[in-house]
Amino acid sequence: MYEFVSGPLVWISFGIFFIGLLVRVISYIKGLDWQKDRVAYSAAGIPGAAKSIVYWLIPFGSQGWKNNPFFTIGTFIFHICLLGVPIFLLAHNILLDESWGISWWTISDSTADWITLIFFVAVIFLVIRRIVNPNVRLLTTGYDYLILAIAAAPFITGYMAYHQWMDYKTILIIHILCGELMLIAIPFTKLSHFVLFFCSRAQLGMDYGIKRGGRYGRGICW
Amino acid sequence: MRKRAVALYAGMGVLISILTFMLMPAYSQEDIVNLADSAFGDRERPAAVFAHEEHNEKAEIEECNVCHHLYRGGNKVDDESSEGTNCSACHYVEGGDTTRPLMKAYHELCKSCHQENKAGPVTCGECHRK
Amino acid sequence: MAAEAAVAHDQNLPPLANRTPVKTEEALKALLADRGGKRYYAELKKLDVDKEALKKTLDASFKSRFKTWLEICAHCAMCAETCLYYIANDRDPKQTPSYKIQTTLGEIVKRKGDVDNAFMWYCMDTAWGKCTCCTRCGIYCPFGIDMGVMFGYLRGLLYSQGFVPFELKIGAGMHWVYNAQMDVTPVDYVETVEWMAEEWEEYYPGLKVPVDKEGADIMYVVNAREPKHYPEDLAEAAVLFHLAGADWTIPSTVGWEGTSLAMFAGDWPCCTQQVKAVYSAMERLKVKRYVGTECGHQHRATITEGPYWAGRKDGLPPGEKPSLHYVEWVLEVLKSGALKLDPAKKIKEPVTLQDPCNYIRNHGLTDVTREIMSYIAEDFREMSPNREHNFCCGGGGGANGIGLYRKERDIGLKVKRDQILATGAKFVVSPCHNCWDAIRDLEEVYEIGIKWSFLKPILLKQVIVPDHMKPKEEAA
Repeated sequence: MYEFVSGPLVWISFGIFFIGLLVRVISYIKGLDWQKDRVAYSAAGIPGAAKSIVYWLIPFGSQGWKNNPFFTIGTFIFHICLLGVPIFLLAHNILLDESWGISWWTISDSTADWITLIFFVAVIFLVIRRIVNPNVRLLTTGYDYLILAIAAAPFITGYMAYHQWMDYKTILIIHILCGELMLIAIPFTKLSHFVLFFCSRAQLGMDYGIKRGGRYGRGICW
Repeated sequence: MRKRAVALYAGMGVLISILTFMLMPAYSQEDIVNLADSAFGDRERPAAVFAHEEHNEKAEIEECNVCHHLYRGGNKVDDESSEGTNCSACHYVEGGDTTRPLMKAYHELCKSCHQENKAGPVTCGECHRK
Repeated sequence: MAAEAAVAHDQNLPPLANRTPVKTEEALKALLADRGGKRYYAELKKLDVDKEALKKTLDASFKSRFKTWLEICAHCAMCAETCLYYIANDRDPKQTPSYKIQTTLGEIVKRKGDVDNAFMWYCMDTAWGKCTCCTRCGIYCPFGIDMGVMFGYLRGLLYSQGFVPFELKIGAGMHWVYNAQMDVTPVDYVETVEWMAEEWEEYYPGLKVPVDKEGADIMYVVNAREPKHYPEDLAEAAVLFHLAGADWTIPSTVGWEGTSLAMFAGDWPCCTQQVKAVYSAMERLKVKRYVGTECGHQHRATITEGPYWAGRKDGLPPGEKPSLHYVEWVLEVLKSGALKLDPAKKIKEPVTLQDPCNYIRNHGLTDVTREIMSYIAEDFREMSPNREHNFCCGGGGGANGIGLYRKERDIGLKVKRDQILATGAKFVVSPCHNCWDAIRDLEEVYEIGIKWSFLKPILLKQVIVPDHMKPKEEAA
């Protein structure tokens, strides 16, 4: 079982992940229509697109982030942990190095352990926000919780595996499966914002940069 | 009086044997229980469990150089072995020009054999037990 | 009940509520005869949804941008606080922009167009009664989901099914029939302008309105409300062009009018016809550039969105020089000195400025109006928030004109009211027809004791008339 989930299934899930995301990006771009969208897409829109992405990638960079400080902190911590821990985890890098001979900068296991706990706090914050804030509660569906669960599951099982709670090997296999499930889910669910965030921000940035006043002064400053 | 002395000596004896037992793996191959190579310094994880005798018996390994290999000019020397030399003498922690880094050497040596023979642990926590 | 009876009584007449745009004078008159749209709305309660056509439209136009916007919305509700209706309605969660678009367009898409009359009514109530398409939410969404733009799209879907507020069905019809938002013909227009110029010539000798002057620098395009209701606005514009020595003209054909109630209604073919009329007048007269009056949505319809409706790939209107909103022209002549203001006549009292969404957030003219303020006001006070972060006046997107949603609009006006009050100024400069109307109405509803004005009257009060342009007796 371990051989299968850590072997072929990794290939399959990464394959679906990368191809799926590529398809999402290509079909997004192909589906743009200068006349229907009413944006004369051109290279002239690139600065606007870049600005639209960069301002929103920086915590408190945009007015929207500034207006919602708690959510901003919560969501940035959530996303930094979500991407940072699996990518820079020592154990993952060792496996990668043994398989493909590539690895990069890593964080220590104890750091990862702490970051994971911080991640759990961020997850709990997001869940509480969904329950407590009446606007969010009204918008929230089971799907939103499912997405959050898909993202949190590899962390919960990874934390259990690292601390060798319960039957180690079973938990480890579940951990790997959860990671693969997330990879596969990304192109097919809301998690596709992994790439579509950039597409959508770039599009609106071009809209503002080309049509909605981009040629005047500093343009929109987000 | 004598009773107390006997108890004292017995107690000291037990203590010494415990200490000896604890220190022994570093000095005696016979009772190796883990791969706590001192070259690593601070470890991320507990040293890998490894009962030398039990392992070799189970794995039916008779030649030392199956693990304690010796390379000369890039080739493995068949009839020589390197036991008695620390792994880290060739496999530096940071890696050498021609040798694997120490951790990678351990991981690959153990795991490749385990995988080949479909026996023995290959996952992190099975060796690095808490 | 009375409405139902009226419908039963008039069953012989062709229905007013239907999926066909109003394209004849006759049909327009029939609609206008239905006071307040009583019969229209009663019929609309029974109008079927052409589900197949709706699905076809979706298949053809619901593409990656909208699809992505609806799909990736994280339901974070950061858009709630950005919406004027949310704030004005005591922070009702049901006024969160995301909720409004997900429960309308989102449902139509999910059900692939299989929706009923009651649902279309809910969509109509939301698209026109809970959103002014000000696009403010879009600049606060982490994913860049512009719900104002999506509501524009939804309006198009609803319009194609006949679900549109009465006044906007008429409005689009006006554009179809007259190429103007009101029943003003080019002849009426030219007559009105010339009449005004004659009246004012007494005070400004030599004042003329150059009609159809080929090769002029500027073709001035107005809002039909001006000839219909505020002809003095036309005179003021003529005087300012005259004093600034501008080489300007107006067309004697369709294309003299640049607004687009069709845009508020979601009648895209009509928008195309309207904007093409303006462009062809420009091309016929070979003018160098367009200058539009102090109207926000006219600028949006003719300059910002118009090129796309007209199929111009560069996204720009015709003319060898860039088309201008009136405020841009004003700043140009103030800066060049062609129009000189008397600094002693600057407005002394505290004055604030309305940022019209349609050319501030949606066309970046933020600094232009502020520079003008530095010429005309001594104590200029910014509203908060301002510039591209401004709130809609509450009358945008057609909201000013829709009787059915008057109550909703009046509630929405509270946000602008409070913004104005917070500045401490009692005078609001509003270089946009819809904002001007909304601010007038908010004074009427909430009586906060403010004045409001377009730029033209202020400029006329402060302008220095060169001696040779003064009436003889005065100059002497």
